[in-house]
Amino acid sequence: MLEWWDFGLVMRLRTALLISALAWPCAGAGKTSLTPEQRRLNIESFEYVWTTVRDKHWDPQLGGLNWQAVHDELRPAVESAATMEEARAVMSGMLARLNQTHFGIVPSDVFGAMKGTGKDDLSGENGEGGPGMDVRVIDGRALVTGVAPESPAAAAGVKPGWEIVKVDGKPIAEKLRLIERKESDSTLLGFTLMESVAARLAGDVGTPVKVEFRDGANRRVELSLDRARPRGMEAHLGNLPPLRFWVEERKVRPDIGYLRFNMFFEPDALMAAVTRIMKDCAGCRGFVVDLRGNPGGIGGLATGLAGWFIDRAGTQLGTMYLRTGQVRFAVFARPEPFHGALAILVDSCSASTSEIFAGGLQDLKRARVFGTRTAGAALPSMFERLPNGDGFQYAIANYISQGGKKLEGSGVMPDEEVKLTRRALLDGNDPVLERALAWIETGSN
Amino acid sequence: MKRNAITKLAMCVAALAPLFAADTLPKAEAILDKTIEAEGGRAAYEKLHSMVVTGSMEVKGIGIKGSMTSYHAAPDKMLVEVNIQGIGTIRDGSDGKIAWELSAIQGPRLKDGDEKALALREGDFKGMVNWRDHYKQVVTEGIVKIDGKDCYKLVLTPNEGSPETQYVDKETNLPVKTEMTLKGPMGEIPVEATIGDYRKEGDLMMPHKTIQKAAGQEISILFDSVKFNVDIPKEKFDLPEEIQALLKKQ
Repeated sequence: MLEWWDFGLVMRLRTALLISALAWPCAGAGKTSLTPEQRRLNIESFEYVWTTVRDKHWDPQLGGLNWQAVHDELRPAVESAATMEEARAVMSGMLARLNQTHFGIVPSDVFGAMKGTGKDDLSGENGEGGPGMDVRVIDGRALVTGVAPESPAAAAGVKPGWEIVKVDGKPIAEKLRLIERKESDSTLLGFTLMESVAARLAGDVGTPVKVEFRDGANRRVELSLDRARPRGMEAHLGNLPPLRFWVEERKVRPDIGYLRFNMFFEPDALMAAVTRIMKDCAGCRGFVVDLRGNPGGIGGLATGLAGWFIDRAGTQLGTMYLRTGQVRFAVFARPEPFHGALAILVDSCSASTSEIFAGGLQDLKRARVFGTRTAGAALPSMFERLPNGDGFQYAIANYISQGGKKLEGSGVMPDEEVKLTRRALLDGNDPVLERALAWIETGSN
Repeated sequence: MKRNAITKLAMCVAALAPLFAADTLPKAEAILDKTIEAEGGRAAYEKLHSMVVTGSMEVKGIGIKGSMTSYHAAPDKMLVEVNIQGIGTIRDGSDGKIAWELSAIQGPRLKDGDEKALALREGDFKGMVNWRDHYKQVVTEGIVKIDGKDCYKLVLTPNEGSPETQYVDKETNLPVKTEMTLKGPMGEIPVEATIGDYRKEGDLMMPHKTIQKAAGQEISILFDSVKFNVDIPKEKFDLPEEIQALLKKQ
């Protein structure tokens, strides 16, 4: 049995933490000084991180980076770090020198609060609650792109297309401009912007967040929204913090199936949903897999899901290149795969396993991709705990899609670029889905 | 001058050493037969018709853990069920003719080529007792140190598939490590398995710990119970519906 772990969601978690630390430093955040034992564990963790990259990175040359020099430069900094935050910043800084996604440090306090506390992990004190809104930054404005059913936001009447102007009294626009300036060249810009807003909205379950919106008529609407338990079932995998997973499957037209899920986890639940919709949709002319906002997850699920749409033995989505060899992302066709047209919807927040799935099926000319360029963060990675208790994510392989494209740093380019607009959202339209449906109904042959 | 002559002689002797070593190494056939004896002997194997093993597995470092049960029945039936939290169940089976896998992630698949040949070899209930049926050539390549112990390095070439390297402890005659390249749809993946913690189960010596390294991952497998001659319901080895559907499609 061989499996690989992709954990795009951890990247999302880490990005959120970094963003919240960079853009909105918490007032009075505790910075306690270290005991000699903590200092020792930080040094041990630093060495572990450095050695892991040296020994496990797929490129022994690290793209020409003098890793020993990085070690020698930064080791004194971790030795003299007076707080956990400083020590963590040294290790994060070391990993940042690689200039690749899927390398990072997740602080132990956040990680520990979400796992192994013995408490109901999502019932509070963990920052996982939210008002139940999907957000994207479109043309410099933080827009609500979706409202979770039965969420505090839904109950308060928040609608897609509303603009988030302030969170807890703090304006958002300037912070977004700052990020846009710093990340303008990165495929991760959209992802980072979304996370910067989402991190601000997130907090302990049951606590309120004050949000100032601009509604459809551009009127100022100020709401105090309770943060609720995120939608979905609790999912556990290894050292990862508990996550929330949901999947929805339905027919969007009498002859078109639709599948959307928030991340590539919970194989049993995901595949059960796929099995249901495939059975229901056996005679359908088309199918839509909506990966917008899906940050990835278990890498193997990309091929597992692709098996429902491929009927050719020996097919693969791409190859991961480890230091010690290569592993193909082989697809095993299901006994009765779907043969109709396949549309995949993506956006700048589709990352990792989502990109492997979309990019691979696009390369194989099995699917047409709609939306906007994906996050370009597609390195298979692992997640470990460090001696100091922090989480450590590191990529173990490079990934090349079946068409020879390196997805890291470039992402999947849609066949048809379709952008969301505030007007469309306010009108209750989904131009990306609509374009995909039109293609299935008229032009897919 | 004399010193030079001695050095030269020493070099000649050193160069000849591998030849002497090769000559003096026991034949692989003899080592494998001794291994069978060390494990309990042919007679002990002959008394068995089924086996159920339970245990646990863990992917090192990333905290992914699971439980496993494997069912084996003479002459050639095998089913391994692994359940991993967050991943689901993976079932792997063979019946002497068909080798298959059914996983929550990948769905059903039939094994083919080298991968199938390996699964069928592993499914042979008498395993290494029948090694002559499975390997066309076995060679002793030398003696190497593993964990400080001298081990025979054997290269076993199966009737079908890639050669496997097996290391047998010179003192105990028990296998301690295997290396092979798994050839399958995911490519050619080198796999190394370290075998240890031998304990007596019935009349046989059975390893209770395996550490498998492949594709950058290290998986430890611990056996906590081994039961022989268990009445396993025949249906246990029936091909799952999804596998039957794939066979029908072929």
